Amino acid sequence: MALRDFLGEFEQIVLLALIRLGDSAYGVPVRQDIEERTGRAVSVGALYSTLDRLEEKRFIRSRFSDARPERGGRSRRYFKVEAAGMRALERTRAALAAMWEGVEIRGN
Amino acid sequence: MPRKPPFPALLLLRFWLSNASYEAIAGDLCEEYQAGDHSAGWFWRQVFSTLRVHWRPAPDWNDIRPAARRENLLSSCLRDIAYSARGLARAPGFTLVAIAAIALGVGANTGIFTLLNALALRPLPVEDGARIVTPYQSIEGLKTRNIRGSPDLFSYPEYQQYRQATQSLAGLAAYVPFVESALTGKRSGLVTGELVTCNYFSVLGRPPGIGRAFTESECRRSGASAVVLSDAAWRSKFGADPSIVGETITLNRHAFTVVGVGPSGFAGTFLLAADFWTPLSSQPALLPQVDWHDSNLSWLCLLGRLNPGVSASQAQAELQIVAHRIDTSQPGRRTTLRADVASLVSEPRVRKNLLYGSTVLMAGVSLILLIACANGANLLLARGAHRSRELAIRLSLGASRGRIVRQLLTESLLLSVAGGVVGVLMAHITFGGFFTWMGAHLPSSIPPLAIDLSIDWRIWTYGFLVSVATGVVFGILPALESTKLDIASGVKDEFRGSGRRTRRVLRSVLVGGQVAVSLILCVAAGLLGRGLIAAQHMDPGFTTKNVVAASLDLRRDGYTPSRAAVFYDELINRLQSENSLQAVSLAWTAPLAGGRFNNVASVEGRTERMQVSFNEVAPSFFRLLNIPIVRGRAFLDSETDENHPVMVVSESTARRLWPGADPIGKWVRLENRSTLWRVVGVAKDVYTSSLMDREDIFLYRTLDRNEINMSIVVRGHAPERALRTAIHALDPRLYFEIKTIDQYADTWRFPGRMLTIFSAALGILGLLIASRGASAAVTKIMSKLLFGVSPLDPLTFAATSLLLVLAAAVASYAPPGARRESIR
Repeated sequence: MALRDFLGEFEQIVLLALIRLGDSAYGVPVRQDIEERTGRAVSVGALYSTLDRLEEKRFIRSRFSDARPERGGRSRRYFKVEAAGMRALERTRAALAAMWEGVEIRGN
Repeated sequence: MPRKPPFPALLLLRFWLSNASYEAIAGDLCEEYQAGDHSAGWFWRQVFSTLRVHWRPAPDWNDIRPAARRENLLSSCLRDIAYSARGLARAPGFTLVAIAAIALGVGANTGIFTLLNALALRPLPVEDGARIVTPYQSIEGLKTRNIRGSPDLFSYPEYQQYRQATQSLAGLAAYVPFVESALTGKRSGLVTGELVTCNYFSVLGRPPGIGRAFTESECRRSGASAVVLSDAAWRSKFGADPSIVGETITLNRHAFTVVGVGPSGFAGTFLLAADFWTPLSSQPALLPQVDWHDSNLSWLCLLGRLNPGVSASQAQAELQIVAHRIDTSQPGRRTTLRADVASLVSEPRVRKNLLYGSTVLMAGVSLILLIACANGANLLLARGAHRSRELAIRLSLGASRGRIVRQLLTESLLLSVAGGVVGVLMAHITFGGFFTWMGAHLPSSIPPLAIDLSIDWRIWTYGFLVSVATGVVFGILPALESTKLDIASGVKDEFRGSGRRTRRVLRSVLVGGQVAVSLILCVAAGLLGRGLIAAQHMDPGFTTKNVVAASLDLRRDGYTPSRAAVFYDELINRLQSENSLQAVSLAWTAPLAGGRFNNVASVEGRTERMQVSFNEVAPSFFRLLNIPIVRGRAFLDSETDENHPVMVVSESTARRLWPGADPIGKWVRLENRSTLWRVVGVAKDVYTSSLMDREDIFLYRTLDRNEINMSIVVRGHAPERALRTAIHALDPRLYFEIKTIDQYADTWRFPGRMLTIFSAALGILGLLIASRGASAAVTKIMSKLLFGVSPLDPLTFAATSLLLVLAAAVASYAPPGARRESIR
């Protein structure tokens, strides 16, 4: 199993946000969803660099849609998780679960 | 109310990101910002964090990502620029040195161009100056033509014909440049003005700042009438007196009423600044030697404003038709008319000479640029060696060589354009200072110039083009050389620090070239300096100590020939009775004052007619100046006028005209005269009219007592005071200036002095740039002989510079032959 089949932490977070948002997954709600749920600030730049990486790995795909006035006439880039992305998420969760088995962190 | 996101932040993003990324990221940021939950500070933070993220994968080489190939050329160029800027920012030492070298080179070049621009390219400083054309006519086939200034100028009747006929010009004005006039009264001095037609200020669109322009009746009244002072003259000569309008000033003993003060910063439409303007009709008072109704007199410069939609060439074609019409009224006359956009120097033949002259200067200055290029190339080569590993990796990852060459060229262009901007600004500051300084050191005989050296779009364009050319020239070789890599060894880091042979040779050639060129510059500067020292101490061949001269313009003061003759006789008598004076003499032009008669003459024993120069002098002239008579005799004391047609010739003249024969007793006949002038003596060769050159054929003849304007020359103790007192006693209202012969000589020494300072500055500049590269080379040689000398060792650096200066000094001292050449 190649190393690239596992996902990094932020990659998992982004993929999960995309799945939750479904058809309305584009930059703004994705960023806000992650900020709300994790309570940590996410910059657009960081988000898109991860999105680009995931797309390069063919875990997600994106399309540009309607140009909108509130975006200064720019279009939205919607993202959709591919089957490969789903599999990667599952693999990573399974791997993490396997690794967590029998591990207790004390002092917390 | 939609909120507008900060535009510069968006611009930054646009500059940094690919099209697709920009669309999504900028769109998201705008959408969230519009919603109103965030501040502008949040927007900026987001933008900067985006920039940082997109920075971080430092080898962000778009050439190796498939997505990049879809990007358009512009955005990939922008990325190249951004990438280069980051690379240069990481090597500030290299960047600063390279920018400085290029700035010096481009700056020197732009400086010369600034001057050329001010003289021949920049439109006149008037309203919409690019729409002002200046016609000139070149006339062939006329037997005679009276000329004041240039033969290509117009007479008043010609001007009227052109003005009445033209449809393409909204207005046509005429002016007579450089009319010198004596201002007397409360403030006195020699002032320079322009005689203008009534519409001068309205055609130029620069009405007087205070008061008004001339009225029709003032323009018709012959003789003295109204005057408009220039803003500068009003401030310097009249203390910016606010109640000046309505006052009377005296010019050439004629009363003129001040009706206005010119617009501020406006000094006329000629190279030499004007202090005042009067109507053309005041010619009898201010320019008595000509007649303004003379239809065969070249004296008017024309300025026309183009009608909307008309080009200069259309106006020229139209005026040419008028010129043909004038030709038909004068048999044999053929007039060719030119009308170009007006600049300070717009007379076609003068402009041509100026362009030639500045080409020569530019060539000299380009040597500096060449040194700067070689220097920049050298720096880039050194840097190329340093980053060969990076380049090797990029090549091995699939980047094409062309793509990397383009990237490297972008880097050198970025450097050169940055250097260019610094250079243009530097040139503006230093050349501006230089000209102010030069203006303050001008000999008093040269009036102030009206040139405007400020930066305009032409200068920026020129500086930009020169910078880009520089960037390509110094960037292309290193770029090609650096990308000629053996990828395997490059990646394996095997050859780092072991520069290849060709690169070493290339670098040596570049360093050698720089040293050679700067040596040439230094030697030239040294030789010129040597010539200058010689010229400063140059002996014109006659006595200049305690000799002063006054050039009197009695015609300006309304003297007739007979009254002038009486005046001169009385003046001579008065001065001869002064005990403090050793000698007094009269001449048409004072020695070294630059004047001389030129004429064609027939000469005994020769069939062809000869071009001769001469001066008219009184008998005491040779004695006063101690010009030795080597053969025959000087004029006898009785030979004071044309009734005694005798001449003294210079030694070289005698050799030229009558080789091997005795010149005494030979005759010379001047063109259009019947008198045969007999040679009675031969004088030693001296520099009589200028220090620049000595006339081939120079004659001294007896005085023409019909001359109104003469120069009086005296030698003795405190000669100036005695001369001033004597002239004042005879005519207290006469305006005149007294100068020592050394002051006259300074006029001739001035251009050489400027040239020397200029070339010395160039030499030092070249040295400055080259010595950095040269000292590295010397270090290399030395480190082969003595171990442990580090490159850029301060001692070596100093030693190399000293060596170059020494070489220049030796070169300038050594060849006595060359020195003689430069003087004779």
